[in-house]
Amino acid sequence: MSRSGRLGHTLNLRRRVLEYPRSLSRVPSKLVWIRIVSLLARFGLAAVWLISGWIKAADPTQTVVAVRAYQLLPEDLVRPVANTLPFIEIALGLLLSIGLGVRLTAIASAVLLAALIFVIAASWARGLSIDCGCFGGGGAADVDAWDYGREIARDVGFMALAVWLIVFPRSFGALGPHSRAYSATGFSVEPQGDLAE
Amino acid sequence: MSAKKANSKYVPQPTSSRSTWILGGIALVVIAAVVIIGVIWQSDRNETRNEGYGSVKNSAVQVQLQPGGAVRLGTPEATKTIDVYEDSLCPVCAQFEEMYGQEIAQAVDEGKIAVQYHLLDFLNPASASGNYSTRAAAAAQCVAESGNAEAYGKFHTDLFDPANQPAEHGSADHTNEDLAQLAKQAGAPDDAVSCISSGTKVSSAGADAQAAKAAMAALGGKGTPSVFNGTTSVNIGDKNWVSKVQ
Repeated sequence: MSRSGRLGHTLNLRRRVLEYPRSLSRVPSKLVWIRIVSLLARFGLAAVWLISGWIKAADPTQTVVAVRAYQLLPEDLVRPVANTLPFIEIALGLLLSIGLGVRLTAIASAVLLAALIFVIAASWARGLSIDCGCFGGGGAADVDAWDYGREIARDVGFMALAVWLIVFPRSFGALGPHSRAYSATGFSVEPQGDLAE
Repeated sequence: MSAKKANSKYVPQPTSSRSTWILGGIALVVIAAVVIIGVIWQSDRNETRNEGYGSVKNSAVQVQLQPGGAVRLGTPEATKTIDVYEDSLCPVCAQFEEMYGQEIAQAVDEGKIAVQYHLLDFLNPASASGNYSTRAAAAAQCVAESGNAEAYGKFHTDLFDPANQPAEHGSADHTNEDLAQLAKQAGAPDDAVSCISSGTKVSSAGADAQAAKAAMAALGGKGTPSVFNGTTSVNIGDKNWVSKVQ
């Protein structure tokens, strides 16, 4: 937004219009691929949060039981966390879906995923056999090292999507000014200027 | 980061148009509303009903150990009887007791309902001792047999309290002696306490639990907790179910 003064804006516009034919032909195809991968990562991660949040929200009792089963939180915090977590996930999913504040949302996603990975690893280390409750369900179950490993591997995969989006938040069809692949006028292909400047 | 390299041909983009700001603002407001309303709604659904009431306290309430091993808790005049099927090791049952236990207790005290508790033991294999559910059911029968309704209500609540309930697949659970202590703290008389610590009722409680599980399955119950009003399954996902069955 720093260059949004009227004069600066006009100059920028002029420059881009003058450069238009050249700038389009100079769009590196690599960049297009990055945008496409970002798009897939964005909707992939959005789906993860929306599905996971929805399942948790739909069965509040099960969610409380799952949060309690980790035995990491004092009893007074179990229900507040169980009541809030699903909607945090849904909010992250919605923000990613519409492409608003993608980098920030991806950072928040990575933090939340890191916390979830820590929680699963902690129960593994303590020898608790509980279902992770990641996609609903949860509570005690017959799980072994393989189940824990698989759950962590899955979350690490989701983490990779989040990290990709932190590095390349721009993608097609996003709403946020810093999340869009192209400028509003449709031709400037611009990598993450805001950080670079 | 690699974006920086590609940025050498930086072309400033028009950051936004008015409509994107408006759209983005609306989206943020909507998402914030989803979160706030969602959390409030969820907290309401998970709220402890009748918090602060405690377990049954009306001296008119009686407890009877019935022939099939079920325990009836209620005033003699209560005409409406509901059946509750639980396993002492089941975490969802603990959550059920935490949410509705006090509301049930008040309805029982007021004579609006009587409750028949059926304690199952199908989660035995998930307990550290291998027979915790059966022993807990036996302990509850011992307390019921003593006829002290207040102690039974308190003991039943304590059994399912997350602070006391052993974890499924946990490394430890309660011995009969621990259960006897818990009953003693709940106000159970000495004969009930010794009945628990000696394990007198364990084998009959096991048979009762098997029969109760079959009875629950016959009614269409798929797991614990299950509540029935006569032969009708009660939807305990509806937070007003206690007042609705009265």
